[in-house]
Amino acid sequence: MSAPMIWIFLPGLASIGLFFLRGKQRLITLLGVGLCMLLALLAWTLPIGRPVSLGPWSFLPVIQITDSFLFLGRRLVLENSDRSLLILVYLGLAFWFGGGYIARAGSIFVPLGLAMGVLLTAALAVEPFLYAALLIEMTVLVSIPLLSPPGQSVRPGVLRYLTFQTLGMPFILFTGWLLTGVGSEPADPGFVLRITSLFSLGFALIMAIFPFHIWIPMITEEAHPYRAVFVIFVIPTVVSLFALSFLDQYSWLRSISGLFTGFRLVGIIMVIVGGIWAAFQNHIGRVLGFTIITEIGLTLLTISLVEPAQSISILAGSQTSGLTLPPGFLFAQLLPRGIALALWALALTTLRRSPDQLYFASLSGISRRYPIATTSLLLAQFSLAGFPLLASYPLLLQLWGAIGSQSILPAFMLLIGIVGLVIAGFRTMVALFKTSEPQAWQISETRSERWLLALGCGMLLLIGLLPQWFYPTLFNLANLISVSAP
Amino acid sequence: MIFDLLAIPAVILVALTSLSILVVRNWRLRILFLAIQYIGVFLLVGMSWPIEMAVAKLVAGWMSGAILGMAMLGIPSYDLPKTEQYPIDVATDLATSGTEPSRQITHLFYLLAALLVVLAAISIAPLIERWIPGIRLAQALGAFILIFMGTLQLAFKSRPFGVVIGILTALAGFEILYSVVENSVLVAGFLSAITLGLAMIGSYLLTAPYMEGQE
Repeated sequence: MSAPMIWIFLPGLASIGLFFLRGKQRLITLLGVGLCMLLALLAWTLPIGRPVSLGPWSFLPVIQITDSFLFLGRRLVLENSDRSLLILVYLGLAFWFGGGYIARAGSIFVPLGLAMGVLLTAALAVEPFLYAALLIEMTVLVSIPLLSPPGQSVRPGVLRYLTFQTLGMPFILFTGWLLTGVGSEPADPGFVLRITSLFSLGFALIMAIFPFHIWIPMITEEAHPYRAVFVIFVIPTVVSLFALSFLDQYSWLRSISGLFTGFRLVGIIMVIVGGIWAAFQNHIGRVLGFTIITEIGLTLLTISLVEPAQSISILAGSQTSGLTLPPGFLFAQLLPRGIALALWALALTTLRRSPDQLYFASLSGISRRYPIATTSLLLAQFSLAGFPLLASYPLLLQLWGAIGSQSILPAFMLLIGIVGLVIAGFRTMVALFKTSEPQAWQISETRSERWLLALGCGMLLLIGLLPQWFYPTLFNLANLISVSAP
Repeated sequence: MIFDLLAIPAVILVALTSLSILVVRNWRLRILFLAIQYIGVFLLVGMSWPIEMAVAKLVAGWMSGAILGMAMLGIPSYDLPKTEQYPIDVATDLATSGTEPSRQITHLFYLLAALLVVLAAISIAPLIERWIPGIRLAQALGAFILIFMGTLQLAFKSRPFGVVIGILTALAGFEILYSVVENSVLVAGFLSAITLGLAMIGSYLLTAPYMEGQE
């Protein structure tokens, strides 16, 4: 038995099986959540590459889970140190699938979401790594029905998404080819320039980095909010892991002058573009889209704080560093961001039930019919904007301080973007609360929606109020980059 | 050897077919030109790959055309754009205001854009010979014509059919370049699978609006 067999092929087969059960949504959700929890539990308890006894009795056989699996002449490798990554992936999937049932994400959400998770795990595990680009492209193809479900007309955002993601793949493949056999920094500056350009373009296209970000607000406006946020959150997150492992594997890439300055510049542009544009939108879905763009910018800013001479894994690993950001910072960002985005998407799905439009004008007074969804949406929005006492605030403050300690101008720019998000939050609040006619308060959310939304709000508040309980654990979670490097 | 002799005709073939795909409106003709385009791709890829691997590229391309064609047949005829009845693209993709540009101007615009793109490909192709060792000028030229024409289609077309054909065209150009540097059977298989996957997703996007909703 090999680790890729358990955590890649088994859930892959399960996703195919679940697809044929798609008439029974409750069953699919239960099976999907159960399987993901089981896989996360196995990753927690089963060591890879070491003998494991199947029980307390000596007559039971001892098995060993090998770390690699040969597939058509290529290797899929999941080492013991990858277990934290597997726990993160499968717990994350279980979290999204559980909410998907309540958000009425449809019966294809679990099978296709699981297939996406499997393909992305395979992308992080495959050797040589250039195959990862092909697996990421397959993930994109699998995700399309989630964004454009049967019975609905195809919107331009989906086509843009498909186009940009597909055009990104060749750049990654060519980067992989150029890097084959290159151990140290090449002497030819032209060669280095070619690699940097291809690498940057490829990841910019796939991770929706400026100026290829335009499909994000289009999709959050057009598609089912929960499914859209799932796709937009999962793919760039895993691709950013892949990109970091890429930089970690070819350490000389980090010494290229201008690479991290470029990350910072693009990160700032994305934060400003996302924040300012969010402030001027009149559609809550588009506000969400521009907020996600700001979050991608914050990720780039975090990456840009790595000193070229240091290993990029300091952002994930537990090494001590001279940075003002603690090790594991990048991954700690995932928890508040994931919860806030899922909460926002769930609240939007609830609000969208009636009047089926998410324009500010059509949502007037909706807070009186959906008070819990309205509160949840605003909490999620303000949390992502870094509002004090909410989950993202401690991390944003640390990031701001770290950037400010190096240069005041980027810190000021970051502030502009964040102010834009806060303004967008207040505009949303006004749109949801204002009403032309007196209307009685009522709770129209279903019981399950109420519980899940309240749980999400509680978590955002709890993490924000007691950050010292959560973030140290998250900072130590990491080790992902160095170990996930294919 | 035969592939070397056919290299220049293959470049002309891909240039003409990609231009035709851009200009022609009728979906049947566009699929036909896509199928012919893949013959050119096969000839250019065959200069670097063994014939059996290059044939896989041709078959994948033809199958993707067939998949898209079957999907188009599944669309109710009343929902096809009216311009489908004309063999040549007349206006709708460019019509942004109430006044439709004339058919001639549209064609002239497409032709000029295509000419610019071909000129750009001609100017870039010799440079690529220095960057990718072993690549022939014809391969570089054919690849860049396809990449640029595919991108041009992506810029002009807004419906799933046109967009998917644009992506397939651009990807075919990239595959010609990549065939020079990578001859792994698995990579070739994956790329063919992606070509087919794109066609399937294209066919899904074409027919999804007519499927029963599942919200």
